Amino acid sequence: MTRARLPLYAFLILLLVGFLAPLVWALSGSFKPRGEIFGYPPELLPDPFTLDNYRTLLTEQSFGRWFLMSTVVAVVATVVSVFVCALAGYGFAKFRFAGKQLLFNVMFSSLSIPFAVILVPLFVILVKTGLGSPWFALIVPWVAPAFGIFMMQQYIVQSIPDSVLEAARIDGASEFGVFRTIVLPLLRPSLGALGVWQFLQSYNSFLWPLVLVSDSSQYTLPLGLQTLFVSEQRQYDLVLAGAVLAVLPAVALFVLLRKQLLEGLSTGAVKG
Amino acid sequence: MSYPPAAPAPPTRRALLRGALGLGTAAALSACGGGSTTLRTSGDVTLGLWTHDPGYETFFEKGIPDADRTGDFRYHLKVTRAGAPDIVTKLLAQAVAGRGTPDLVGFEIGSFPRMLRGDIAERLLHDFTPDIEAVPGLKEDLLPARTAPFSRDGRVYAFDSDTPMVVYFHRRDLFEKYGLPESMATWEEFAEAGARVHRDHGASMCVVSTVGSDPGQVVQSFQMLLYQRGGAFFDADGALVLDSPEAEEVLRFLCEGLRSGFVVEVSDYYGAGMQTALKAGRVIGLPMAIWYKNYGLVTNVPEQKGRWRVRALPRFAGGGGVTAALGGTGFGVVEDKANTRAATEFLFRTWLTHEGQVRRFTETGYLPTRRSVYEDARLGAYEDDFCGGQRLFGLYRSLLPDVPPFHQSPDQSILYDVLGGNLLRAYHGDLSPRQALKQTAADFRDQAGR
Amino acid sequence: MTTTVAGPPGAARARSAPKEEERRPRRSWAPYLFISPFYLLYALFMLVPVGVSVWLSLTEWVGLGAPRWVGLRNYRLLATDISFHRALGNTAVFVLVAVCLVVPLALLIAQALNTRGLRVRDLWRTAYFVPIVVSPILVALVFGLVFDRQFGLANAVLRALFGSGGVDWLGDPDLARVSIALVMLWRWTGYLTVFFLAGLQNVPRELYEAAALDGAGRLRTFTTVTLPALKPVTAFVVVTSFICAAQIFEEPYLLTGGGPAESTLSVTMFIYRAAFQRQQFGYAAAAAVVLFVLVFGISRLVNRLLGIGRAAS
Repeated sequence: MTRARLPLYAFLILLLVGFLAPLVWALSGSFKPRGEIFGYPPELLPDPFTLDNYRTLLTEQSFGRWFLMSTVVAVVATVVSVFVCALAGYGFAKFRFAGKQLLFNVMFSSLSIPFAVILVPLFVILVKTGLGSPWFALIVPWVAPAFGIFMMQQYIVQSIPDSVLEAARIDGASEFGVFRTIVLPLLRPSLGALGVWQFLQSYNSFLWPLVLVSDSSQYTLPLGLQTLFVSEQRQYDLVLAGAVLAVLPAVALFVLLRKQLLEGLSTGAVKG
Repeated sequence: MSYPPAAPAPPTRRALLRGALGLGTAAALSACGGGSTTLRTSGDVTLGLWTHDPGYETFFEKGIPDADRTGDFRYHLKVTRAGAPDIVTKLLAQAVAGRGTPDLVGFEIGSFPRMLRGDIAERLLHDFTPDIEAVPGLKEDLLPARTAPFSRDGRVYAFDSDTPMVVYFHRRDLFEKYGLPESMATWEEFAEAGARVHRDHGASMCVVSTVGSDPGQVVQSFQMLLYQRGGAFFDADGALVLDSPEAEEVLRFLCEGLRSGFVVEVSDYYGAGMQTALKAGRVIGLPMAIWYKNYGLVTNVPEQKGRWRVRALPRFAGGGGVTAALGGTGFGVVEDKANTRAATEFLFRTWLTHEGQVRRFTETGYLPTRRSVYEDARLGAYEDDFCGGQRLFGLYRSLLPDVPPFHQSPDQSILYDVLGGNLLRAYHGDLSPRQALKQTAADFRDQAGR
Repeated sequence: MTTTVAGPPGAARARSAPKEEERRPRRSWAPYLFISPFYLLYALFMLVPVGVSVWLSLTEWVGLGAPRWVGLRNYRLLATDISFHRALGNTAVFVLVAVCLVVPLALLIAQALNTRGLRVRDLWRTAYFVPIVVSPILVALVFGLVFDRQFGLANAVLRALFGSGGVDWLGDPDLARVSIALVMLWRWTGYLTVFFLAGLQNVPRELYEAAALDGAGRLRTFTTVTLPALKPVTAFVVVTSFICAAQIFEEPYLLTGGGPAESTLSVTMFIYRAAFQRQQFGYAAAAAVVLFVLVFGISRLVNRLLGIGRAAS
């Protein structure tokens, strides 16, 4: 490391502190008793150190249940979504058909529809048609995000040569067979990226479950934590511990699969 | 809390139950216009209960044996907990969808105005008026001040959990130490003494909330004193009457208090700032509703147990009363459901009985909404540990006639949004009190009714 | 920003020559089958609700009972509603923050991370990205504490550095906007950096070497080599930032509730407030339609200018 590099590393470290300090502070707060969370000056190391927040959360609140609900919903949504997006992305990337540009534009426009616009009508439609069960409504309406299809389309255009597809077709494979045996395996890295992304979206979503789920035994994590927080005692200590526990799987998943996610996210955008 | 042994139940209860079973049922039946729901009249019933506060959940759970014993139903509860505003959102969403509505709903008072928009309350909620009249003496016994917030056009849609009188909490030890006399009777004297205490000891005797994210809380600080002074936001017809000499006087009083240090800004009544101010003795007294003891003081400064006392608010020299009301949660019953009658009876057998209201106080600390319950010997003998064994019911009884009614308007959240902003501007000296109120009225007129 | 719009944009890709298989009519049903699951879901759960919203915007509806037809009245009222104008203004500010502050900062960080021979590049990149992974609830909770006037981390740091720190981050109308902007910076910069970094890593080294041979300085290399090479990725980042910031909801909703004095009220919050706090669903729907038209129109314009959002063909 040369001397000239010092300002660069100083800059990077400063940024690192800026980005992580609030999270580290939250982590440290979750090990403090309620009265100490707001202590001044702020102490990084909890003193006294306590696990009570976590203990109370895990024993007296249905934290495990919320966690299970969130995770199952997110996993199912992710699997279905990745499949639907890959299908449609392939359709757009490798075929020419009547109305393609129009259909593509319609899909693109859905990016600029604020969720608040469709919140109420969507809710009414789902419940009126008997599809308001959380297992359905938390998952199905969200498995076909427009961005996922962009991403897949981009990837397929760039990484799957037409010659491979053509060869498979000459061998007599059906269109779906080509997709399943040739396209999907080649797509694996970007499927991972989309999967992580979709998981995080579903796992963190708040407003939709808030309106939809009315049975507290089916609360998702964000909903359960919000309920803890707004119940009249403002249980900062519990909520902080809960939020930390809730965030851990997301962060862990991200750190494990970061290469796939970061590269998958950026590839399409870069090689335009 | 310490109690003498329980006294036998007063006789009114029987009449109450008979009434609820009789006329109330007829009313429920006639209101049930049709549809596929068959009204349940006895047997096992599971009531869906929505509330934002686990305290109510416990209260109703414990009330089941009483309700079972005195009626034809065997009750079970299925409780859903959600944030207070979310409860109304969900209720309306489910009602539009035509299924999944609860039977019994707790409306936090600040969320109820949404039910007053259009004919929502009329369509969705059971009107208790006939049920009340069916119980001899109940109508006269219920405090009109506490049915007002949940009523419209003479119909009562929910029963309040509390008569949340505003009192003056103070640190007796520090009041003595700083030489504050017991005899100060007016806010004006308080303010003068408060300025001195702030100068000499850096402590304040009144608090205003300035939490920007919660206009309702900002408004509360002002609301308490406004209603005490005899002002109001809305009249009984829901018309805005905020812009009044009383309002200007109260706002000027607070603004001047902020300059002198008699009043201090805190970001949130329940948050970190308040906790530290209390711990450090920088706030030694504040006007607040009685429930603040449990939600603000006991949770934030449990170690100050025994040092706090409660007294009546000082008066304003210019007039007004000695208390106001702040907060509350009304429980209503959803209309036209199979369980409408069962839920109504459940409410009458738990929430509104003499015994129920006594129990409600012992479990949640909320004051009775029936006048006669204040005469109960057990409550009179109750000593408050946190307030150094103080007997508080004598004070509550004396304040009772002064509790002003609080009328709500469907446009209340609009008022809170604009008033909250203008109060902050006045506190910070950007607007004079007069300008702030004029501006609020103008902004409100611009936005209401859109 | 309500939903994280991620992923690559529509291709800014040059049209390629017609392909062999596309000329065969017998396969023409296949693409429709491939895209049909998406469009089925899309029609049911997006188009229908949007249609309902447009209709609702022409009615007065309290959220229960029958909506009452009022024609264009809601739109006329919006035109004179000070709150709505304020919300539009605030949203414009947030959009400017996103496009003029977050995007350039992300580019700057990406440049730093692209330095040749940088150590532990993966660590920096990963750490900067973490904020976007974190649940908004935790973000709100933590920043509520960070910005607390008396006990917040922000003021504690200021006090340690400058000796005074009584800044009322969330209570002062202008500072509240600054606080929201800071949270946006915190959440979004690292996320966008990843795109720029990937773009930078793809610039052929020869271009830099040629520029160096020409004797170009740092700044000129940046403007003549880096920026043109980054055009597609910049276009994508700008458009997604714009769309996200125009719909910003979570940050103000959880942190300031749109206050104080509506200084952080965004259009999406305005919609939410009208519908779920004031029971004016028709009015909310009209505001939503206006927002949609604005966002859609502007993003189409930007797309056309920058050449993205086209299907590969």
